[in-house]
Amino acid sequence: MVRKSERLLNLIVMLLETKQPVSAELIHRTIPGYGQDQWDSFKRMFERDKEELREMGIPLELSATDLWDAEQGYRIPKDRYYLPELNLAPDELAALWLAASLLRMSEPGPARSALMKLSDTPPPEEQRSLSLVSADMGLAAPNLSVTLDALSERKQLTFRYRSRSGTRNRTVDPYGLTHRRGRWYLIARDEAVAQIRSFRLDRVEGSVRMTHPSRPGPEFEIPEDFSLQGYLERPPFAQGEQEVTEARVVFDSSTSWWVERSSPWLHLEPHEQGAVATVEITDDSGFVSWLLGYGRGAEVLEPQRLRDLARQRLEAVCDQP
Amino acid sequence: MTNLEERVQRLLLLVPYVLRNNGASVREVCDHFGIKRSQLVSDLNLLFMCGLPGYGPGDLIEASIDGDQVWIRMADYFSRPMRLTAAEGLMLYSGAKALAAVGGADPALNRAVEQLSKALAPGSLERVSVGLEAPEELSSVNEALQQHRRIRLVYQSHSKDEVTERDVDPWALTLSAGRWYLAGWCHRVDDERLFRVDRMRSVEVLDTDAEIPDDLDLSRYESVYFESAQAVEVTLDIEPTARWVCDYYPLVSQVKLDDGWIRISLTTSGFAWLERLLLRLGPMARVVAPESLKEKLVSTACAMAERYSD
Repeated sequence: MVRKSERLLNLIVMLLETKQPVSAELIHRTIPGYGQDQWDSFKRMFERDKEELREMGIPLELSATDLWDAEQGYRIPKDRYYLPELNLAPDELAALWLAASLLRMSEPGPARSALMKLSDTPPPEEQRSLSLVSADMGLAAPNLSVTLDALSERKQLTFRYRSRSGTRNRTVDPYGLTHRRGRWYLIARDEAVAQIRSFRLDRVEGSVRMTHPSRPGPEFEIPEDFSLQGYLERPPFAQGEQEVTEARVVFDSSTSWWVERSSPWLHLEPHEQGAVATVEITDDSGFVSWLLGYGRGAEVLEPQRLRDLARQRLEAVCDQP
Repeated sequence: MTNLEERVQRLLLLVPYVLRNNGASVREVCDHFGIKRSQLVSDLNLLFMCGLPGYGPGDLIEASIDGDQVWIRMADYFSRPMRLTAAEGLMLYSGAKALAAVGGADPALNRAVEQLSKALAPGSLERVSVGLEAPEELSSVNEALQQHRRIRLVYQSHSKDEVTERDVDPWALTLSAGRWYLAGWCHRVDDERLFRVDRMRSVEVLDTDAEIPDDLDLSRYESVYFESAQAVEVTLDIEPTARWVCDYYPLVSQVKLDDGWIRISLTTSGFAWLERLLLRLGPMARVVAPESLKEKLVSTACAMAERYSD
């Protein structure tokens, strides 16, 4: 019985060293551990092995084995497999060790293997960590790795997601990944509603999976006019496609410094009370919630519709049983 | 990652390392990879079965321990390690962002991050955005922390909303849920305290040495929600549409009620932040206990409603 690790290593060597793409049939005949099995069971094993390679970050290409396109074959492209020569200077390497050390308490693993790939000789002990500082970047979030792979390879994802409207399956084209406030969000086009949405990875139930894990090659194009930064800079109450309203808000001086820090996308102008700003919104209710969250220090001046909504919300709080 | 993947990935790292350092001692190799001798022996035995199609003597990898030396030959195709995976790249990149926030601009770090993008498959981090708060006070706080100096803070408390001046001996700086916190000894209250760096309105590094206990347990500060002595338990009912609250705050308990609402309990040392949260939730939340929180909330909401009644 040939061990799976042995079979995988032999597969990597064969696909890395081949000059021509190799057909599944040739792989079946050549590599020990596949040979004795029937074609159907080989196909199943090979599908799993391809997925395994992908999960380890090993690039796999599928292309024609001959000029006539009669047969498809696999190879691992050397230029995509090997780490290029980097020649990191000692201070650059030390900076990366320091960076990784901030994550040390909560998130070891991949950071260490990355550093080992980059150099055989670690920096001296005293340059390896920044004492008394630690950062939890939420990198232990499940499904982060597969999401990231799908993003860079442009592969479709499927998962079960819990949102305000309930839990259901989503099939999405990933457009971007972002870290905000310790959490990771996937920005993706949701196929069912044909709109770009953001998904918090920790609200996924179970696993995020590629819809076609063993199929090599990109599965969609990201529209040229899509900008991740542009998308992220819009506050949550201005994300929809609905009509835009301009709201005028005022903050008192003890609140405006805090608004400046916590909502950096807002352009504040000085005002006798503190600061004023004009905000573009598409979601009245979301906007009023956001504003009321600043407490007594914030007030919406116009339009009247939003002042009325704010008053109703506050009165509901006053009248609670 | 499964054991299998872990093993194959280690081998794809171990072979290039040994090829570049042939004859290295067993100890050296084991230490570098954090494995035991028995694991190394079993890894080398596995390699011995692998190689180029044909799998004859001229095709298989030669791997052996000779005396105390580790040797690998006939594996030129593994002389260079593989590129960083997207996950590895994201780790270092995120760490670099955190380091840049704490340590300020460092040209070596910037150059290293540039090199990092070359070490990854093209486009891996192109569509990734790591947003991280970096209040300007952060680098002064870190400087004082590293040099063991006392600091003077003007601090606007998040939980009580009061502005105070405090002298603090910095002990540890930690990023949690996207915010930087400083743990240390506060001379104003003569007790250990946790401060949010983004609530510091100013920081002055004093010419006084900070006192740091010898037995400081840093792991305590990895989670910022460590038990506070003056914490009060609060009970709220929230509507199902405001369920996100359960994901955002550490709860003591959470029970589903008959009408579909959720009853949650949490502890806090101040009401100001809760009041703002409740104002934000509006009719989607009700205070069950304590009565003092409810009174405070209602009085704030009524005063605010008054302003809108024109």
